[in-house]
Amino acid sequence: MTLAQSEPRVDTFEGSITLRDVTMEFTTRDRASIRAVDTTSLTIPSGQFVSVLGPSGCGKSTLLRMIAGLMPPTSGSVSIGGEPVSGPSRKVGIAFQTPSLLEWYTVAENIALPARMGRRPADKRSVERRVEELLATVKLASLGGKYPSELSGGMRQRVAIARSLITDPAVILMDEPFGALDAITREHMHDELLSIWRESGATVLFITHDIAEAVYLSDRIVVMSPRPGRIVADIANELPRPRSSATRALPEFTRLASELRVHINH
Amino acid sequence: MTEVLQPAATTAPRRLPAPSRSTARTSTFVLRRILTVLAYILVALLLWQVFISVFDVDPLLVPGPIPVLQALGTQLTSPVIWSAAWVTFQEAIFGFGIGATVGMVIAIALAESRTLYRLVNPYIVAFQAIPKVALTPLFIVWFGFGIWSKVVLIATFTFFPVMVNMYQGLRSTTSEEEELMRVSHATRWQRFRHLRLYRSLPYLFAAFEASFVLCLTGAVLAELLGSGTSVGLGTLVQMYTSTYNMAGLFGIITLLSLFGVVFDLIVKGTARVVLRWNRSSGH
Repeated sequence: MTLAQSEPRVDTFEGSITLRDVTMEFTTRDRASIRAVDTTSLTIPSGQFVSVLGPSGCGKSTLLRMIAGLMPPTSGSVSIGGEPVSGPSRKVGIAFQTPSLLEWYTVAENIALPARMGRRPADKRSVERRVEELLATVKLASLGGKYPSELSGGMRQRVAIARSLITDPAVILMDEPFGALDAITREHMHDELLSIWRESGATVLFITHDIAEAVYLSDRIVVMSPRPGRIVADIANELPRPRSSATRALPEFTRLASELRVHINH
Repeated sequence: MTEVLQPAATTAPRRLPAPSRSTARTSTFVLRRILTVLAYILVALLLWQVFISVFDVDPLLVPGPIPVLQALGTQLTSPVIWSAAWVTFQEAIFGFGIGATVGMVIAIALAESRTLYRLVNPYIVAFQAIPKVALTPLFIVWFGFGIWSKVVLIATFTFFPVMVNMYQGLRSTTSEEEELMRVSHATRWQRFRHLRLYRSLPYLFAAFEASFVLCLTGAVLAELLGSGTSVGLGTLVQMYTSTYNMAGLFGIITLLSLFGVVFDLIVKGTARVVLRWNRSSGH
């Protein structure tokens, strides 16, 4: 495994995601079957920032876990960069709902973790160099030696994002990563995430139930409805980039947000 | 020029806190603890004396603190008590060591294999339901009157809390932590070594704290029930009781309680060092 420096990707196919007629069924304790995701198809070109928006329990986290290779779909196929997904891949980085940092390791050790695991872990020196860069990227330079318990909630989630970038993934999956943060910290994190995304050139699939968050961040917003989980709208977001607090004041921002609200309430 | 002015410390990742500082903090912790214990002992002695004087208790039933301390003074200068204490100490330590080791190994095996858990767990629960004290005569028949019958009994005392707690700790990881290890391509060993083992440590130390006291109880109990060739503190308890040497008896009890406090301090001190990352969450 190589840890390339972050630079715009030349290969425009590597980070593409394709879901074809994907269905995921769970069996509950009383043997009833629940269709969390129902015959869903979605194609995301490399480098796009896509938000999946929906109420809780609509199967959006399940969708993310199937793309991550953490759960095989009941039927249908998932592929990344044209290759079928059969398990977790180093081409994919994940940031979870909770930072899920290992409290017994320092910030730097936490960020390095995904690259240091496996039968053929990446070379220690190159990982350390990359960790330094990522610490700077998420504005935590000089805090590499701290323990997670010494950090604030927003800092912890930044560490989790840096960790998801350590293998230099072509696809970054984010499962409501800012849900637990206060509104002000969250808006800071949005701008930081956008600049990280711009630098890395990775495809981002961002799960959220926050309409404004989806509008501010994405190129495209996919709305899901619950039980069975289906895509009910797929809307391009033409708001200009780079985005800033002025973006939130644009009439298009409000228009798009209310359009999305209509789809969610249907 | 600005680069020269940049302090080096802001870019270099800081390693673990310097060991000297952490040891210093731990030794102040131990010192404070010892002083607290001494204060508690003083208060207990005072209340004891007040109780004796107010209710005019027969010294044959409960001797006052002064004769007990005198007895303890004589005891501490005689080699008998030291050899007895050494015997009891060995029993407690070996029993604890063996019981805890077996408990940890089995906990790891059960946590790593659901099949093994399903196969073995009912037997373990059934074993736990046996009052271990009832096994003492059996252990004496099997392992003799020396220290080993006591060691085995103490091991059975220690084994269960250690096993149950560590098993629970190993399985207390969140699904996101497990998923993190999977997406990182961690091997089974790495998942154990970097995630589950650390998660289990606070649980493990809680079990150590609980079972260390049980160790002393087990040692004294087993000695009361039969100790031919090795004289431990429990044996002395029996001897003093049969000769109505109440001051001597209370002296031994005081010594045992001191043992317990020291053991407890050792476990808590170790936990503080090992679990320094866990300090914020209640240790």
